[in-house]
Amino acid sequence: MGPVFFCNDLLHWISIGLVQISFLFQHDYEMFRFIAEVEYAHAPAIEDAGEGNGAMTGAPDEVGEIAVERAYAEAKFDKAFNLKLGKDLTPTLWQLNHYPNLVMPYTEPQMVKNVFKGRNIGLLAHGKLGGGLRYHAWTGNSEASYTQGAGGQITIVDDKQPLSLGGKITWESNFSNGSVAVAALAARYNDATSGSTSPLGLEMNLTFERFLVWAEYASTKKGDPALDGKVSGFYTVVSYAFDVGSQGQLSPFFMVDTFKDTSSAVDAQASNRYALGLNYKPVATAAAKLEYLRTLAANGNAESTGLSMSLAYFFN
Amino acid sequence: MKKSHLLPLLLLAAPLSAHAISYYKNDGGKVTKIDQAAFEACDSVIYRNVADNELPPAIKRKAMGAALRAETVNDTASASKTLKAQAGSCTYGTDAEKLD
Repeated sequence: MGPVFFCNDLLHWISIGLVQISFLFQHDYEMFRFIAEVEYAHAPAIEDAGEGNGAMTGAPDEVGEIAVERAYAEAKFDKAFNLKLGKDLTPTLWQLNHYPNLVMPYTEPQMVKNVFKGRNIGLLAHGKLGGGLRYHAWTGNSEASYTQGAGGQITIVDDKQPLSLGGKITWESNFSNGSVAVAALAARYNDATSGSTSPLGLEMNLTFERFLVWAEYASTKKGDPALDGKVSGFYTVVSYAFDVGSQGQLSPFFMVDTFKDTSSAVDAQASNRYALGLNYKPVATAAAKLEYLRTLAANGNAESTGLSMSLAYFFN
Repeated sequence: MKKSHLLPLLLLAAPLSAHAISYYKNDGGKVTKIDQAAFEACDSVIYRNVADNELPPAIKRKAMGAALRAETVNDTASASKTLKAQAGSCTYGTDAEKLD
């Protein structure tokens, strides 16, 4: 199976980019499942001159990654107990559904991967309990990082930290015209270098007739006591789906996205974003989005506004 | 053009994988065939075969979401085993697949 995403981004009517392509490979054998996902996201061209001007100068065509996003073996013992061993996404609402065909907006909320980390390399247990409860529990460590030299050469830094722990408990319920899921998350990221953090989070995913509401909140104290800071973020996306033709759906959506990092100088990293857009799915496998995004700094001044358009397609 | 020359053209034009979709439910431990409406009302669905273009659009959309979350069970034997192990669950497949 090889789903591929192709996404064009048109910013201020002058920039078009290939944002993301993912290849997902899956094989089931008896009670075992093997998954590998290779992702190209905003990645530099292979033939790039390697002059080292990439992320350092913000050149948009040299910032990104080619990564193995997920690669794990899963043993499915029972509805209530399954084990994954390998590299997987942290099971937050946005992370689990972050693909352009699934999320409403084009813009990723600021808190994603900045409070709870993006990926876990280790062990994850998950399953369904009675009464609509579902759990995830994980332990593992972060990825090794890398540095880029002046000549563009990459040096892997083996700075893996002690094992971290995390858990998520979700309650799901279906009712006559929809469904609701609410979840609480907690984690402990041990970090001997910059200090440990213990984020807490809440999520809600509500479907009511044609309305869809997603909301996430997460917060943690900064690991380094010298910084005496707190990182927190919240977003909510509200949309309403209209039928268009025999298969199509047109969904106007609105997103409020706030993020604050009080350890940075004068709240320089605090900002509020507001997105208003249209998400059109002519068929199940395609999505076109038009989005107006306005970003405000902590003092209320407008930092930027922009109109973007994206296309996503799922090949199979 | 001879009629016999039209045959390859007709074969090319015909859908290569046209087939019906059958729906199944584990009803109290026994797997039975159900209709699409009963399938869509099922609380617990085992999604699979997202590449099957015969799937109704609404089911294909949900199957695609499940595939991206790595929640699909594509292997026929594994799907059958999972269905039989989970009372109240539903799945689907082609008529050629043995799921019940």
